[in-house]
Amino acid sequence: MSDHQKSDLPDLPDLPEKIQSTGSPVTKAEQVPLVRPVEDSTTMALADALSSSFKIIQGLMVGLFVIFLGSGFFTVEPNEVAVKLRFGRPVGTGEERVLQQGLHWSPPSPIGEVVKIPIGETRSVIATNCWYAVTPEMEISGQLPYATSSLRPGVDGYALTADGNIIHARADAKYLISDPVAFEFDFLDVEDLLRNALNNALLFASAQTTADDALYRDRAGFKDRVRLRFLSNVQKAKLGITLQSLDVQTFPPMFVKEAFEQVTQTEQSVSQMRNEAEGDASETLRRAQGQAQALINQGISRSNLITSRVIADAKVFEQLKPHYEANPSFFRSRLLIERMGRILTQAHDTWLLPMAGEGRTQELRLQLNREPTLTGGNQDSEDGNN
Amino acid sequence: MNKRLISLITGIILLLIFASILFIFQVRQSEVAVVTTFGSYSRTIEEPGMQFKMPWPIQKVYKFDNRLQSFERKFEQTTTGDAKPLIIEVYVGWRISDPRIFLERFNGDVLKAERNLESLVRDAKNSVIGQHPFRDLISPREEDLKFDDIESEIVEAIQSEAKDGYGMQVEFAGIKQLGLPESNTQKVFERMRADRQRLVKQYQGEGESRAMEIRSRAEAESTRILNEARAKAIEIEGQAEAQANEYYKVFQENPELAELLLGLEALEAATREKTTIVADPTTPPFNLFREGVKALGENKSAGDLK
Repeated sequence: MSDHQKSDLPDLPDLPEKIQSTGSPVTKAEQVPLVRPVEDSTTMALADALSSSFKIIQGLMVGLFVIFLGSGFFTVEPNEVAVKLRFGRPVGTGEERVLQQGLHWSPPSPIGEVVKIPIGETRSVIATNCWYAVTPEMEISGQLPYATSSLRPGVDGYALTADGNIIHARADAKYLISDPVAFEFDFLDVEDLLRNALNNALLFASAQTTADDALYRDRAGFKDRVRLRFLSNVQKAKLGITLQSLDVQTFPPMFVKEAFEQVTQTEQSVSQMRNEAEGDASETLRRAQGQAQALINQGISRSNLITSRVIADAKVFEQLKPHYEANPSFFRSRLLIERMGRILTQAHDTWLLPMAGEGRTQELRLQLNREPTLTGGNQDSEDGNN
Repeated sequence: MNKRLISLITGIILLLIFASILFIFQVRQSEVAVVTTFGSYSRTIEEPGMQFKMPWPIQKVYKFDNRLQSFERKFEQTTTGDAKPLIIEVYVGWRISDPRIFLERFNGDVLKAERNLESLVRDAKNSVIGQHPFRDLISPREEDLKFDDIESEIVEAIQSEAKDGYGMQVEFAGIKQLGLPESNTQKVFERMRADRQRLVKQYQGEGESRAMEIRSRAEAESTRILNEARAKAIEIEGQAEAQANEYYKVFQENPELAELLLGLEALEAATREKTTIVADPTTPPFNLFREGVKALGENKSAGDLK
């Protein structure tokens, strides 16, 4: 037995100096030394193994603890925020609760919990309660259903308009999360609530808009009413989102679509008719103004002619008067002959009749044409002018 | 000694972990909890954080999600205050307000709770809609619409019973869908078609009438312009004539000469184009022919005599 093994054995108690049973003291020399029990190798080996195992376990526990603490590190990406929970309660107050991008640490579960909320991505919610009943394939292809003479409640979606008509409408709202804490911890399904709010907005807007306004005349106004009602619903429920964009579509029921299109076509043709009439009216007025100006110009020309002719005649008169007064009969004859010569020269035809004999009468018969015979192509234009 | 200390610490840690599993629980931010002791209600925890309890089976913890959730009623027919049939679907937003009642009533089963809520909502909806005429839901004037009032009245009608009877807080209600019975939609379609056809005829008539009006107005204006122009031209010529009369005064110095000159001018102007003249031999200068012939005759006779 080695010293090491001896040292591991428990110390034996000291023997008493006197053993009471014999009645006489026993000296140490007479004491019978106790012999230690024999230890076998198996027990020793087991003891060694336990000792080693314990050390390994200790090491593992330390290691696990370090890993445990290290697992609390996390990163927040640029398009998200995070909220740390400690024993279920958010850490911090107000804006401090929301962690921005970067590296952070939180006690690992079950002590702590990290909730990440993607706020950077634009989300979309579509309201189709008032839209046609379409399959997903039809939705993708943009195909609309066939016309039916009635609409089935709960199957075919539609909206009632202010004038008691029916339209189909749908809305697509794109939004961002503006209050991530409320978005995550106050509502079980925000998208569902938003969809209901949007459907409500479509109904509300339709209920106060006529079918013609919603379909054609005032689509911007209709969309605006949807948007305002939707925002009001969101604010009332404090849903913690910001609306980015809203797209609203309206469509007439398939059964009356053709009738609506006829109205649109008629409006267009009426507009064209009015434009043509206004064009004709402008042309008429322009022509009249042109003719009016021509008439006035003719008047001015004639007045100028009159005035200039009179002035010229007066001058000629003053020039000829002394000559006439000097010899009136000669002057008259001369002037007559001169003018006759000019007249006869420019005449188209000149006929000189023979004199009848003394005591005889003659009869002159003339066959007159409306127009003298003309040569070439002048006939038609001359006929037209007269 | 060190080994004993390490062992002791390790043991304590393990004990703490074990104890925490048995004695500690968490209530998350979005949760509320009810603690029962041997099946009887002990307390409600509505604030998030770490809480202590006795281990099962002494105490048990029931946790519920207390976030706002949406419940939708089926699309059902009802009647308005003015006896018009209407099909309406309503949604409500609710959350657990009293976890104890919620647990005792529904054992935490949300579906069961919503089934009970459904009947409350149906009754409230029918009652409220029945007090409003159709025009409170459909009207061209926004101020006549009573959507908000109707929705508030539905909430008011169910809030008390939901809260006290079910432990549920109804925070808002909204109309999700409005419709008419199927047979009514058919009539609406027929009316819409007739309306469109009437509009087509109306627009055509109005368009033709308007076009005619535009054209006739232009014609009338054109006539007026031409008449004014003619009058203006006549006025201008009149002024010229009046001015010419001033110059004609000079002719009064010798009226015979004036008459001769003006007459010859008129004669020349009249015979300027396309004129055929028929004259007798006495008309100058044709009368010279007779003198010439006479003179020729006289010369011939004189020659013969010689």
